[in-house]
Amino acid sequence: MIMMEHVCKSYRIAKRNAGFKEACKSLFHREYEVIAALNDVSFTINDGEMVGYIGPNGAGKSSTIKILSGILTPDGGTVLVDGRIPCKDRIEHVRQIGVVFGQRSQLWWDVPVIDSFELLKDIYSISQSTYRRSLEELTQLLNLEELLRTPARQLSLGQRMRCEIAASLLHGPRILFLDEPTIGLDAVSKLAVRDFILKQNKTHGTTVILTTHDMQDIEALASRIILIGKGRILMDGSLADIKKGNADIDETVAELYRSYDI
Amino acid sequence: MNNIFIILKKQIKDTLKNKAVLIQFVMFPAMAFIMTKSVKIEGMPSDFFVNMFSVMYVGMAPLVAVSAIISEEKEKNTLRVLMMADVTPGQYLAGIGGYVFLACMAGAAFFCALSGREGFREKGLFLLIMAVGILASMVLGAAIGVGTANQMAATSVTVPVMMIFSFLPMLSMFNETIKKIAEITYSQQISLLFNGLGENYVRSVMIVAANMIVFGGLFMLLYKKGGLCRG
Repeated sequence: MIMMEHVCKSYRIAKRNAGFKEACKSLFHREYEVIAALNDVSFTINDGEMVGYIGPNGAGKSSTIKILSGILTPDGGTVLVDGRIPCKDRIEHVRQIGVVFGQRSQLWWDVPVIDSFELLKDIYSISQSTYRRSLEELTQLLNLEELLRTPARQLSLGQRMRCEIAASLLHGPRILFLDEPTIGLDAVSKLAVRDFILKQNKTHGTTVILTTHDMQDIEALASRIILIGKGRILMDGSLADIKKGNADIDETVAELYRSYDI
Repeated sequence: MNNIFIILKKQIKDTLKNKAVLIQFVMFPAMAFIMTKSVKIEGMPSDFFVNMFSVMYVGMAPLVAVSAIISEEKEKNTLRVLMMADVTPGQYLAGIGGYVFLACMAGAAFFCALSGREGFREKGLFLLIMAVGILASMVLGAAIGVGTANQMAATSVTVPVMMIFSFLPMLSMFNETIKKIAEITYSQQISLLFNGLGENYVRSVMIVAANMIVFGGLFMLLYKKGGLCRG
């Protein structure tokens, strides 16, 4: 189970005005502004749930994922993932989670994908038999056979994303954080990724937290939606609660953003 | 310890594919070999080019390699993957540091063989001096890699720094003012030790140690400020 209670996180961002003079001035004296990325965020996610975590750009989605995955330490509040504090109980925590950042690759750029997989196998101390089994299953489900010996930099975005997802699941995590996994993908790749996530949830009971701007992803995958805006949780409900009879999900969500002024 | 070896193994695979880093390790030994074998001038010591290129190698290869590896992994997000998989910053730095050190020491062994030094003591001393210089450059390279946000920023800092430390010993042969300035750099002291001109070994060792302390302090300062992998 994932539990966040009254979680806050703020960043100090450097600010300066435009112009050469200001650029020179900023070398010696910088002004900072404190931005509240998360402000009293609370929610609970049960095992095996598939949750869509949505909100406009800069709402605090990625910060939440980073806190849940233990990369960031919250300024305040309580975060528990299966009873563990992510930023403190790192070793146990990382064995139970998989993270995919759609906008940033997690594969080593110059080496074949299989080398990245082997490295992750070593780092997560996955036994040879478990690794073989996971690799076979993921290769078959994500159709990776032809890609494993290709360096990550030579893969198309869709191919790379399939490999990224496989990399995040090699160690058999119980929770999967997907941060915009279908961004920039063509229709075929999107469908393949969505289909795989659904299967993963059904067959392994993997808890999935999905952040995305693609409402078709949400429609296809999430049974529950959490809306975040300006660092606050604004809504927590089902897809039906959001749609309220409106057929167009994009229009509905845009209307929702407008109504919350986010 | 296991994670350190995993990072080391990864780095070997990675560098074999990454020509930009790989070339740093072979360029100077290759140039020293070509120049030593092809240029013969009367009165010139037989190890002239070896000593010259060894100092350049010490000032350049470890520094560029470490800063390039850290900044590249930072930029391409793979450093975060490692941190998320519970590789600690210390293990990561030890892993890539161990790899760069071993790779550079292989180059040092080549220089040693090329220089024609004889006897265990002579060879051991040469390798020891190289090892100390390589370590100093590595700490400086790590400071640059940690302190810069991406590969481009790292390169623009690394190039002038590396040129200062690599070329000052050579330029100091032609200019007294440069020589005075170069005195305080570890690369100049290593050059003096190689050429048997270090009148005071203790002084040279102290200057190299002082350089390392300054680089270590700089690294700690930058690491405390931003960490290895900014959130």
